[in-house]
Amino acid sequence: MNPFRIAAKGILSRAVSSSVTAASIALSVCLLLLVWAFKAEAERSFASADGGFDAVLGPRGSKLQIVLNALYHIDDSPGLMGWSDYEQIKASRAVSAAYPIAVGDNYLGVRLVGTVPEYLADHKYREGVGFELEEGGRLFTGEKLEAVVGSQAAKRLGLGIGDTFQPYHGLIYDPQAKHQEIYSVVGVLGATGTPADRVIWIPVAGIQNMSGHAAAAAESVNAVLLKFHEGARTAGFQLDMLYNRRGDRLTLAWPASQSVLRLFEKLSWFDLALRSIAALVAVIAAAGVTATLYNSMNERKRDIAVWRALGARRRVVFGIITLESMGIVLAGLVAGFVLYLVVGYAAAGLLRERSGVVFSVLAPNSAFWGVPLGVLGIGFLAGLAPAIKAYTVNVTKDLV
Amino acid sequence: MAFDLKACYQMLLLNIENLEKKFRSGKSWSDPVLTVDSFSLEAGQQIAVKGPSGCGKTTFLHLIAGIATATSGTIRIGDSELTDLSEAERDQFRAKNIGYVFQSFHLMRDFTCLENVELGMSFGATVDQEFARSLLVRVGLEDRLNYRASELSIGQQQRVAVARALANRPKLVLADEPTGSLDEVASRRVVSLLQQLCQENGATLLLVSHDRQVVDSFEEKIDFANLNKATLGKGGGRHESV
Repeated sequence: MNPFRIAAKGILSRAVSSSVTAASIALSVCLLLLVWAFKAEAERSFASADGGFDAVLGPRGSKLQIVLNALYHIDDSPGLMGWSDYEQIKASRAVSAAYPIAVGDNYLGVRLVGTVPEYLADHKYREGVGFELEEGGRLFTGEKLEAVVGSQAAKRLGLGIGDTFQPYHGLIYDPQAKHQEIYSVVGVLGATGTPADRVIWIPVAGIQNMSGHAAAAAESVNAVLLKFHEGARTAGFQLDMLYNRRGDRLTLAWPASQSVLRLFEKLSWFDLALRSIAALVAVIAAAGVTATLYNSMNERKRDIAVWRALGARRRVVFGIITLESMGIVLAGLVAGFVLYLVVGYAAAGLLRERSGVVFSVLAPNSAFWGVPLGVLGIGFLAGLAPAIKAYTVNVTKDLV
Repeated sequence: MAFDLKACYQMLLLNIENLEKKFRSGKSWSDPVLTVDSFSLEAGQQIAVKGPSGCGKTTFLHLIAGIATATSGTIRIGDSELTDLSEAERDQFRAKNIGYVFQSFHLMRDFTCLENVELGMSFGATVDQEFARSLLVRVGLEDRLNYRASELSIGQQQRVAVARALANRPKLVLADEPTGSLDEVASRRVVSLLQQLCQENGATLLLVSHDRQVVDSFEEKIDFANLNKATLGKGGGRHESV
């Protein structure tokens, strides 16, 4: 019977109260890890999911909305911009590549994105990595009613090469808003782990000329994705000056990922609030440990007096009670981490499905050592009062 | 033939001189509750001390065990002068050298028999599970090793307590009214077991009880009234039949 076993027996002898206390710690640990790790990982994921573009040009409006719409395919477009604007920016000496993006239709809730085939053929969405088609597929041609389906969208809709579909108007599925055109799937993209997986790609002319669209749409796009020439460091500043400061028709979101990071900055108060709540839950759980152990001390005075009569030194008794406290906290910590993995993987799956952003639940994060250390520290403090009470047990008085 | 004082002294396991215990009440001290001029036990000796409840027998054992401290006087066990030791040193000494049987057994209710006996060797000696098991077999509980203490009869619990007192292979076993909660048959059995186990393990046994039958089962016995001057106001402690 070493002190660890004696402490474990103590915890097990109060299984119900120990379990409830450990469960409350598990919840707080899970909450802390989720808030902490998810924010860091979400920032990293969104920041690195810029699709390999330096900037996005869109109609006058919110930069964040332009980026979310054109890069992440998760928001409405702020409006339209002229085809001539696309041609103008494409001709800019600082720009190495410009791809138009047009939206406005869906198929069973999956967004249709109009662009030029060069985007899928030439663009590297990550350093040296371009889009690849699954075997037997090809890219759509400029004018025909052809589509290339993202990997996730293909899975969700059950679409494969040779299948046909009729788009619906709007970004939200409305069975009454079916277009007349019938599109054929000519290719399925391999998985990229980017928002491109979640959409159906069609020629930009397809969106522009879809039946029922306003005439103005034929000469418009919703945004232009931009890649600058390497070494053109001042390009961003110059274009920012041109469109954002001097101009009043268009908005340049540059750097592309910064707009999303600014959103996280704006949400920092919410993050702080969540962290505070999680920390408060941890403190309340620790108070539960203190209360559970402290109250049990009255009924355990006799047992502790017996330990002392059998030769246990005061510091050994102090250590055993502290170990009990740490044991409950450790159990809560482990359970909390398991809970975090379960919730984390579920949330990561949902996030990937909704935004296409790949979230790594186990990516190295300071939360993975900060939270356990903090919670164990709180556990030690929580065990102090009961341990001191045990330390001061009067053997001759309580050994009756 | 020359008298060898050193050899004679070495044979003594316990030697008490001028022991006095008072309790502090606020700033003042109580009258002595225990005053023992002289008391000694030889290694391997077994002795019963008889006295009514509340006469200071438990305090006497607590002082010998180092659980309580004497107001004055000396308690020597083997080569160690207990009154010179700090509290932590006395705890360590007790863990290694003294076994204790309590009137109310004081077993850990949620521990098994085996764990309760192992607890007796957990704070000073090396935990020897085989020895713990053999002690329980010796007290007739081989089929109850993994039973919780709360699942045992009163007599079985006291047998576990006896095994626990021997678990740290003590030099001295102190038994404080060990049969107080038992019927006559169980009392005889437990006392006999205690005597046999102490003899087998070479431990000295000092038992205090108010029960005349228990005391009479010892060859050597002493009336606590003859030992404690504070109670009688006279007399000293010598081992003699009562």
